[in-house]
Amino acid sequence: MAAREDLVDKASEIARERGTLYDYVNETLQEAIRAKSLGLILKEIIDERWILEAAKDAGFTLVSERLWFDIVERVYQHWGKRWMKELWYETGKWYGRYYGDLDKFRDVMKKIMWDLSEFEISSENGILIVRCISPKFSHSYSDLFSKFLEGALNVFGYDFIGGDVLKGVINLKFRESKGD
Amino acid sequence: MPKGVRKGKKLVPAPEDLFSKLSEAANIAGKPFSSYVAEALEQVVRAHEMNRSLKEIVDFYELMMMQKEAGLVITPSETLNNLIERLYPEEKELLQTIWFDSGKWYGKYLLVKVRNEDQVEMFGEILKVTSWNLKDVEFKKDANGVTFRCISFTLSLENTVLLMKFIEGVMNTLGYEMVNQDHLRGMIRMEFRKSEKD
Repeated sequence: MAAREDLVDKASEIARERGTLYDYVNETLQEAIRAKSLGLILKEIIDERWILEAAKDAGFTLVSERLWFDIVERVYQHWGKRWMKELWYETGKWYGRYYGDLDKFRDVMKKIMWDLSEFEISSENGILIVRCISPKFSHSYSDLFSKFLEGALNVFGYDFIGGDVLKGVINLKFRESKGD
Repeated sequence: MPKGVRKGKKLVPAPEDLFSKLSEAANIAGKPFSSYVAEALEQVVRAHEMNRSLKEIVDFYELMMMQKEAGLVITPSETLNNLIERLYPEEKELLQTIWFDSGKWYGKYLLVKVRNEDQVEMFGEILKVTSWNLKDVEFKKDANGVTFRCISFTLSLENTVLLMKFIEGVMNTLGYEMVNQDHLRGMIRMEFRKSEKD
């Protein structure tokens, strides 16, 4: 099989540490075919791995969706929404500071928030619009998640000016802070 | 240079069966075979730079997709811990029941999803790879049953107990009952024996 010389040289160099070039190429091609069977190409899988690795470093964790929503609802009922909203807002601010850039924040949220079917941030006539949809969100969870977004957007220099929060649908509007 | 090989290219040894499968994949993707192979080799180099093998990366992706399919979501751990800390003193038993039930459900998912492999081994692998706050996860099988051990430097005592309930739920569904356990904050040891009813 013929392949680009520079790539073959690099692969040979790596293969030397691990075995023969034949075995290494064999493994690579097998993984390329396996990636295809998962509906992706290797590049996409490696990109995804990078994002998930970064999410881990940023303090995210995996939890059962049912368990998570159940706990949130219980605490919401028990401790009241004020405390919860504050917690989500502060968490949003923390992640806003952590990612430090609106585009990066948006890209990460899109990738790791599996429970969101849509997440868009767009700009119309100087107004920043954040839309997200998740059929799985309860009304209270939608409310909390909107506070999370508000916290992050505040860090990026945007003030909340209005919007709607319905069960599973969040539509928020922000304007650039005057002080900035 | 071997005959028929263009300048800037080199011959690479590859198994014939993979060659035809790859050629098929390149056709489906609508790409020339050579660029498809070049992309794969580029990713080998990239994976190497990440100190990972391609297999590890694809395995990880596959397990994460399994977790997604099983209804797991990615959420800020600090927020989850905050909620547990609030609720635990007053609702300890309720929370333990929720985690146990969640484990039982997950065990059922494994029974349905993992049919050609050992489900306990697969569960151990999933915990190792996707439980980001755990270290040294070990499921050891012997003639008497299974011993589970794990260490975490970040797990609170409440979370340690809840994780144990989750694991107990999973193992119950997979046909094991807990016969012994020992735990400290962030440290778990559980022994399971095959249930007699199985």
